[in-house]
Amino acid sequence: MIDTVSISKRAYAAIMLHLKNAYPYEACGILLEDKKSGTVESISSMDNSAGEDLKRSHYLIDPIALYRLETEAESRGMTVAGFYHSHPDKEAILSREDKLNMIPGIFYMVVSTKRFGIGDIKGYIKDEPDGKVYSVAIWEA
Amino acid sequence: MNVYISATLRNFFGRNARLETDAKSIKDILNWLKDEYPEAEKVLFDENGKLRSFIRIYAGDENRSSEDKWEKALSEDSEVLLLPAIAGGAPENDSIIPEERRKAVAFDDKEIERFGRHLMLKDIGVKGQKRIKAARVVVAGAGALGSAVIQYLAAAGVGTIKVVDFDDVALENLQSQVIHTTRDLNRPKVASAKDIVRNINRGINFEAENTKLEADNIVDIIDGYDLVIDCTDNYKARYLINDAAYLCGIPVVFGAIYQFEGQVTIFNHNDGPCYRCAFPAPPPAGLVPTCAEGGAISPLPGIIGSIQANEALKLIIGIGDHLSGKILTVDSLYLRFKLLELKKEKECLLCGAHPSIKGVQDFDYEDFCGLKQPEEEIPIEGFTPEELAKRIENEDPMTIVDVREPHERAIQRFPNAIVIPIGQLARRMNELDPEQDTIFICKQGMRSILAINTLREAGYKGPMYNLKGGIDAMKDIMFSHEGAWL
Repeated sequence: MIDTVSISKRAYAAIMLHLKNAYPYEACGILLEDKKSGTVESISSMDNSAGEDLKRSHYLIDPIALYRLETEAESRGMTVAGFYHSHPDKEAILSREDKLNMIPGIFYMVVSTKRFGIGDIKGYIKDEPDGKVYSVAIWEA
Repeated sequence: MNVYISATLRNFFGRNARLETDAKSIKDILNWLKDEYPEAEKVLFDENGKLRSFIRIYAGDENRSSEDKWEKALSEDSEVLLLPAIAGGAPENDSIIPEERRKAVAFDDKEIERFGRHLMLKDIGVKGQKRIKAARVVVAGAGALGSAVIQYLAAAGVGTIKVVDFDDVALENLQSQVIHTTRDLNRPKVASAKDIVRNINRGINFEAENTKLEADNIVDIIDGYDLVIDCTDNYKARYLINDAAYLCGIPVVFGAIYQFEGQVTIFNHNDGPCYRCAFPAPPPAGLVPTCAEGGAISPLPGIIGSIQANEALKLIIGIGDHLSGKILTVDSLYLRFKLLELKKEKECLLCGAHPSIKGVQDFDYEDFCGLKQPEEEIPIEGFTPEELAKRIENEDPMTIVDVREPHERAIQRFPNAIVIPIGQLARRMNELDPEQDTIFICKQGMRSILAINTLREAGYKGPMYNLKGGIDAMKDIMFSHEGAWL
C-alpha cells in the first residue's frame, strides 16, 4: 500500500486556490496522476453537488461527471489517483461519513480551510472495505 | 452487455475498464460480478448484503442504484456504469467531550465572573467553557511538567482532575516542580498538587492517586476519562500510558524534556499515530538519562507543560489545529521551535494493521524497557554503598572507575576514582587491571551497568562490580567529611 503521494507544485497550488476561494463552503476535486511518473500532475476542480443547504458541511462529486472526466483523462495518459476536499473551519481529519464513503486503496486529501487561508493538510488511505484508515504523507514534487 | 468500471474501482475487477456479460438486468450483472470477482463483493456490498452507500449504478444516464430498479430488463445496446459517489461531510464534533455531557453543565454567577475571559472569546464562549467543566482529565506525573499542566487545567476550570504520582517531594524537585514548596518536603506529590488545585478553585473535583503506574492498575486508573496528559519521566510509564489509552480509546497529550530541549505531541487521536508509531522500542536502559540524571533548565518544563495544557484545552473545546500527527520540538537554548510530521505506522504492534498487543497485561513492560536482566546474560554483581564504604575503609585493593561526564564531576568528585567517561571505555580498557576488582560508579547506578556490559562486550575479562544506586545513594554515608561538595 502506498504511504506517500507526490503532487506537482502547480497542481498543489491549484488545489489550494480552489479550496480557499470556495470558503466558507466545502469544495472538492479530482487528483490526476501521470501514469508514467506516478506524480499527481494536474487536478480537476469539481462542482460540489451536495446542494445549497448542505454545501457548508458536505460535498458530493456527481458520479456521471467523474465518469466523463476519467474517460477523458485516460485518453491523455492520466488516471485518477484520488480526491481532495475541504473542511471549512474544521480539522483536516476524516469524519464518520468521509470514512464510510472511502474507496479502499484510493488516496484522499483533506484540507482545513479558515477565514484567513489554509490550515492543516492531510492525506489518508483505507486498506480494506471495513478496514482501518492510515495517514499518507504528501510531497510537493 | 457492456459494463464500465470506474478507474477508482478497477483494482477489484482485475484492472479491467470494460467487461462483457450476457446478463440482462442489474441484478444479474451484480450476481455475475460477484462470481467472477469475489474480491469485489466486499467493496460493492456491506456485511448485510446492501449496496454500499458510495456505489452508484447507471444504465446510460439513468441512475439505477436503488434495489427496486435492479430487476428491470436492460436494452441490448445499453452500457451499464459502475461508479463511486465521492462524498463526505465535515467532522461532527471536534471536541472530545460528548454533547450530552456538555449540555448537562450549568454555571453559577461566580463561575460566569471567574471564567469571563474565556467566555468573551468567540472560539470558546459558553459552549467551550461548558466542555471544559464537563471534562475529566488524568495527569500522569506531578513533577515538573505536571506542575504547569495541573495549575493551568485547574485555572481554566477543568471539572475533574485526577493526578497520579507515587513519589514524595524531595529538595532537588523544587528547582522546577513549582507546585511543591519547601513546606511540602517529604509529603506525597499528589498532596501538594491537591492543595494547589484547592487554592485555585474549590469547585474542582480533584482525585489523588498516590500509586505507581503498573500494567495491572493503569486501565482502572484511566478508563472512563476523556484525556490523559503524560507528564512522566520514564519509558515504562510512557508505553503503559500509550497502550492503555489506545485500548481504552483515550487520546494522550505527551510532553517530555531533557536538559534544554522539549517535545510535545498528541497520540491516539482521530486515527492519528500512537507513541509506538513514533518510538517502536525504547533505547537500552541507562543510555538516555531521565531528568533526574540528565538535568533540565528550570523554566523549560513550564514552557512544555503549558503547551500540553493548551493542547488539552483545544481538544476539549474542539478548536484550532493541534499536534496529532505532528511533533513540536523546542530548543530553549537556541530558541528553535520545529514542527515535524509524525505518521501512523501500518506495522505498529499496537495500532497498525495486524496488532499483536491486545491488552496491557499481555505485554512485558519490564522486559521491553530493559528493566529486567535477561537470564542468559551474566548477572552484574554490585556493592551497596555500605559495602563499598567498608572496602574503602579497609583499604582493600581495587580500582574505582567514575563513568560520569566532566560537568557532573564538577559538582562532586569521588575520591581516588579514575575517570573514564562511558564513551571512551572500550578504547581505554587497557588502563584497567584485570587482576584487580574494578568498581564502576555513576550518579544513579544505571549507566555503570551499561559500562560493565560495554566492557564485557569489548572482551574485558577482569572482575567488575557496580555501585548500586550510584553516588546519590552513597553521598549520605561518606561525603559529609570529604569536603567534596562544591
